[in-house]
Amino acid sequence: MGYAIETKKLTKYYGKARGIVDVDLAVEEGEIFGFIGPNGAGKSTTIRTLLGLIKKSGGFATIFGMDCEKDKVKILSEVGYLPGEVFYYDNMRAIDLLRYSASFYKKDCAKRIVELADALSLDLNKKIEDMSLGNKKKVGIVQGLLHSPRLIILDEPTSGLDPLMQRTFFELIQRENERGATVLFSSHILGEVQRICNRVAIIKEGRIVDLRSIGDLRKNSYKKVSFTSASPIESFSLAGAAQVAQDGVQTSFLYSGEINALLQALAGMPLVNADISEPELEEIFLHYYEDGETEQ
Amino acid sequence: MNLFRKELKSGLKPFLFWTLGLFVFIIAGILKSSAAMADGQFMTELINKFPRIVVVAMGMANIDISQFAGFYAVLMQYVFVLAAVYAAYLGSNAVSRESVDKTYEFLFTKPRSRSYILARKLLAALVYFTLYACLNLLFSVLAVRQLALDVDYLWLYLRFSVAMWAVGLVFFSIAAMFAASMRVSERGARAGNLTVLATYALAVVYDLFEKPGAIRLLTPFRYFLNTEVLDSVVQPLYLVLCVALAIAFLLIAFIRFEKRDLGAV
Repeated sequence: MGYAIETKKLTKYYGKARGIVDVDLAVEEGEIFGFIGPNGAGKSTTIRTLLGLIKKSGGFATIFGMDCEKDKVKILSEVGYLPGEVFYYDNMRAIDLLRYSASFYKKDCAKRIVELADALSLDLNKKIEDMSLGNKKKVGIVQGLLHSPRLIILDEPTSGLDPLMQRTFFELIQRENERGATVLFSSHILGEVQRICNRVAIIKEGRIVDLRSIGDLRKNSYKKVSFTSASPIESFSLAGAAQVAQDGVQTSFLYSGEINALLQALAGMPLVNADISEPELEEIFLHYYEDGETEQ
Repeated sequence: MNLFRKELKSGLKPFLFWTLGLFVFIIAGILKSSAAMADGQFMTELINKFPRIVVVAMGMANIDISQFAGFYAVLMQYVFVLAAVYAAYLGSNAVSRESVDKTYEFLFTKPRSRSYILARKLLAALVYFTLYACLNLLFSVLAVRQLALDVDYLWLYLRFSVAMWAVGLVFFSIAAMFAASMRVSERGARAGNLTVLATYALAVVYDLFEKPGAIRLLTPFRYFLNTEVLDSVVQPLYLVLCVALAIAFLLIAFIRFEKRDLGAV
């Protein structure tokens, strides 16, 4: 099976400002591929380059083997795109916008519009300017999926959706994937990428810093550990601990490794309090940053 | 709903607004003409007392406003400026509206080339500008009917309306070119408006000289001289020049628009 998306050394500069540098991606057909990174890392720049909204400065990008710039029109007939922030024509009703959107594709999308609107509890007769952010997002989801695209590109898709609607949204995306659609899922929330993706690329400061399967990511996933001890612990060290910070009786670090080993190590300390939680994405990126410095 | 129809729909409100302005301007202007014609001798003497630069700036150089045709020609000079500003707005708006409204991510990720989309947007805008020129003719006929003149000036109105359309076409395409070439759409719109202003200033400079020479080529406002249009002439050479310039500017607009990054501005 070929690649749904392939980029080699894809680079984009805005004047002198860095957008993305030498981005290599290979998204296989039929997979749900996560694209994760903090704000400003280059996720949207990569996506906009793939969609032909912005012109690349170097490298190449293909979708279904077609060049993203030369074959843009053909590619876009196979792509459904949901941007992070949705902006539509305010004076239109949802149904008008969706019919307008459908008119660009050579298929009858009427039935599909109703199905998707029902699944998302979207009132199609409401004017877009009267809609909440969440409802506008639902319109975005329907317009991105109404033509049953082969490739679905989602850029921070869950912002504005309540948790219940997020679940419905993930179910919809999984159904689309089962139908055969490839999904590129960009997010800065690790949890939601872990939830539905097969593989994930991590982008930071415009460069891909890691590419892993979700299984791998889980196995090597980091925990944020902090504890308060009865007395200060001198030079705390533990295999798998990174970013160790000590301040008197307070110690915190990121831990990657066997959870039993961690608990055993903690059990041997004079603990007053302890907390083990999921780290923020920024904290994980700090780890990548430190690794980079070490390599240099 | 297809793209062209959608563009026509979204351009209707601004069109009605501009049309209302044109209507009021022409009706009020033409109804004033009876006063000017009644006191023709006095008006001519009054204007002759003004410094030449003032007469030129008011667009009254070499025109006898004590006659209806002369008065109408002066009125049209102002209508040309109005039309030029509207045309520049239409050209610039066709290129950058989606970026300003941030709807570009919706439209430009549909399976159509940028040129396809831009062509339909410009065509819809051009339909409105053509209607605007037609309404100039219609409003002139309606307004002059109130004056119950002995002579039928229909051909005069038609010549001025054609000239107005041709001049507007140049500003329409210049503004589209600027909007397509500049990343910040506000700058594109400003450049379009400044072009109108600068070329109008050049038109005044043109009128100041006895033999202005090539300045005429630089300002579309003087492609169709009032004196010539009053003499039943709409220079075909300048009509062709307007269309040729429009094609050239629009071509540049298409090329620049294809190559640029799209984004919110």
